[in-house]
Amino acid sequence: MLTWGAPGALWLGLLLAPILVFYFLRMRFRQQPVSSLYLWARLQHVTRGASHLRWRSILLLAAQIVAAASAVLAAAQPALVSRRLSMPGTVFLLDASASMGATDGGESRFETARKLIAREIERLPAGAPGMIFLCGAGVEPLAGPTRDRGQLLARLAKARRGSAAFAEAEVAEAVQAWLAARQEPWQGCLVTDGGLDLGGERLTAVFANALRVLTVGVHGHNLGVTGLRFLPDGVAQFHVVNGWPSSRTVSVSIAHNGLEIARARVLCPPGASKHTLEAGAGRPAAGGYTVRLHQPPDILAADDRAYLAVNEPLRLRVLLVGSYNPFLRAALAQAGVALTETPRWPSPDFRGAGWDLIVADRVPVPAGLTCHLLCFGDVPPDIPVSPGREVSGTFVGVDSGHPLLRFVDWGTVNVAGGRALRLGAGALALATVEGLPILAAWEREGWRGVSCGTTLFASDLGLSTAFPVFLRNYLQWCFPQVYNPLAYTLTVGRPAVLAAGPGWRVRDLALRTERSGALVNARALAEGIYPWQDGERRGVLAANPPSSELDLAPRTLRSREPAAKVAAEYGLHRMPLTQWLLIVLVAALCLEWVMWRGGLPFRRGVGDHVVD
Amino acid sequence: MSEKLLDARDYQLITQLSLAAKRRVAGFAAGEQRSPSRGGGIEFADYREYQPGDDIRRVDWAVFLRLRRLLVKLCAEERELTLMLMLDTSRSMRFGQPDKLWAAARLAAVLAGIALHDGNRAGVVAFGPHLQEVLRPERRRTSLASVIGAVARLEPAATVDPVVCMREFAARYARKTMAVLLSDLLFAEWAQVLGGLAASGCEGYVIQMLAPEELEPPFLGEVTLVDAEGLGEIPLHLGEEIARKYRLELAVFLREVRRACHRQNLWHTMLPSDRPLDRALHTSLRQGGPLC
Repeated sequence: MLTWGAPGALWLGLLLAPILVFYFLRMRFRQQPVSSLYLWARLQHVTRGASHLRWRSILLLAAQIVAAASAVLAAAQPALVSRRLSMPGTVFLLDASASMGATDGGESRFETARKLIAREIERLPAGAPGMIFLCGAGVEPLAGPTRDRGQLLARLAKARRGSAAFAEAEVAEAVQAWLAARQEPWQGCLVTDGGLDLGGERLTAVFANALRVLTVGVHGHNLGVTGLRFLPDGVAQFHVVNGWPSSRTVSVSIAHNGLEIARARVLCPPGASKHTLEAGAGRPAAGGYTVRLHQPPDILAADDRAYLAVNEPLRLRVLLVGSYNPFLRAALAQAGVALTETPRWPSPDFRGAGWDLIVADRVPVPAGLTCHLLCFGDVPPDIPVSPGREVSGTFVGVDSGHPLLRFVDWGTVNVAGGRALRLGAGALALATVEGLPILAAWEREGWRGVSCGTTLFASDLGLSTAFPVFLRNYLQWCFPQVYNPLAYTLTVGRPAVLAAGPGWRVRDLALRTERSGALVNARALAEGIYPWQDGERRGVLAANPPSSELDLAPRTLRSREPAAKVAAEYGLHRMPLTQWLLIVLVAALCLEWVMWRGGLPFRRGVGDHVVD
Repeated sequence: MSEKLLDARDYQLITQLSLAAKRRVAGFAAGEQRSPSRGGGIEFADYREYQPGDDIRRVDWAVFLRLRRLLVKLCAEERELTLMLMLDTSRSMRFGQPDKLWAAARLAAVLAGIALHDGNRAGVVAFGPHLQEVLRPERRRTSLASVIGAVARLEPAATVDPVVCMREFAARYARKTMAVLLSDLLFAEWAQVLGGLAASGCEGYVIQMLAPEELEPPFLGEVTLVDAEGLGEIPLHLGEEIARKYRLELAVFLREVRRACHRQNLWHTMLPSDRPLDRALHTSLRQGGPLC
């Protein structure tokens, strides 16, 4: 059934009348006397030329009518609405997590899963579409949606396993978004070894219980190591996950930058166990550390190593601009912070070069600062925060999950005077006075800042026990690795944020980085040690498989059999025709242009004998 | 009309130029052109053995002293030349700016004037259903006015059969004259006409008159081409491509005409109708043409 979105546009069809009128007016060719037709007749046979001209005129008229009609019909937004039986499609979710690399019975679980999906594809009812998603830390569309089984199988054969964990929430969210854009009914088929972090509940909900789970894997008889750390006394600590039903004794070694520095035999009871190993006295030297299990090959080789990156501690260069402020001086007097105080800005065109953080206290703040900024009493003009009216009262924290408010309890903080803040896009209130924001966090071009509408002298903020915690949170927000030496040790597939200078580089394609201001988002695609360089500074990043992937015991998810089945259903299928009409319009215009230029083959026949 | 056909500068051209017949002419009266008859002229032609009765003054004594043989110098007799001007008066000649018939009439008048000025005969015939003798060959210099008047009065004929006309011309003037054909040759029988002219034995000259509009069609767009002689119509979308092919076809046609003339020992030139008369006479018609 043909429906029209804007039937009023069909009145534009009256424009066809002038086209016809102009056509017939144009057909009355201008009479042009010539001395003799002898040469013209030699050039073009009279009958043939007239015939061609007539056909050309008719084709031109047809092209014009088609173009105009297409434009009119496209403006009316036609659509074909039909009621038809839609076969349910099947979304195949192929678990590509690290644990799928375990070898059960000779071939990996991933290979087994691939064969299972291939078998399922061949069993699809005729006309039923299929879609394959490769699932790991995220979702990668592998093939489809298509009814072409050959295409599905060919793409399936090219699937590659990842090294990340199966992030069920992300996968469910992506698949749900994909399903929302479909009109056909879809059911799911998940092939996994059961290592879903949410137990498959989210995915089952996405498919409205129409999710079939095929579990691969035979056993979890495997030993894996993870969680390499250094205790303060220089002792290395790690965890061994023993998937065997009995205790196993295994040789463990620790290497620093590839050189073995310790080795021991440890007894690993079934399940996860914590172990320590003397790896040198005092603080560990910077570099990449690897703990390795020396054992006969088990079903997953990738988990026999765990990595740890140890780097020189980050020392922040903080410039405190403003008059003497004992509160700030005390709060910033902590390890990892090199504080420099100055009563005024170093120069009129100061932009913050050479400093990691600027704290501006009761001084006008210039625009264009290219570093993180903490300001009290004034705000620069180029941030999404501007000063509002004067307020006074009690400082009330905002209930938010912002990392700046972690462990922060403002208690009772009185504000004697200050200005409320007007927040623009990219700013978030952290605390209010009289219901108006007075403390706000913002981000601008990757630079992170906090603006406070009052000062530490006009309020009890400096005396609050929450203030040093807040300041520490702020430093960690801007420099994630300043208090967390494990920030350099990543988990495969999970993004991590690092503070890095403009010259920070990692030359390894298995580590994806994306810079935003002074921060770098890093995501490792494979486990290992990745050296980095930032000007003169050098260091390493380490990436480990997700610890959840070490437990290789296959788990049968609760929703193994679908609680509901998707049946073929009758539905109104609406197929918009506008884009096709626009294509016809363009084609007609092109045809008309080509004919007008004389480019059609039959017009080349004119005067052929002349050219030879 | 005659005053408009030629102006004072054109009369000067008549006195400046002469006809240049390639072959000896066969007139009766003495003129300024070499004739096949040898004897009374002054231009050396050949030697022959002395025969009794020969004029003793024609013996070449220098040869006698060198060879001890009596040889008589033979000189080509200068006889009169008959110039026949053939004008194509088909309606296609009344085309162009200026029209081709007017330009051909001017040229014919000047050529006739040159012939008469040199003491030769000049006649004018025109194409029609049959050959029209516009002016019989006359020798008197005073007949220039009648020549000009006759060609100025020429009007396009309703129908023209150039093949018949050429056949009749050959019958009347074969091997006797210097024939100049002024035509656009824009008819299918042009090759037969040229063949007839060559077969007539005349010293043939072909001056192909074409209008500027024929050399470069000034019109573009969708037109219906109407034949001036009523031979039909052609509806046509005349774009740049067709115009280019027309120019190519014209060049091919002119080359065919030139080759046909060359094969049949006819001199040929193409004159645009807008070419100034003095330039046409001094350049186009003197390069091996009828003038010198």
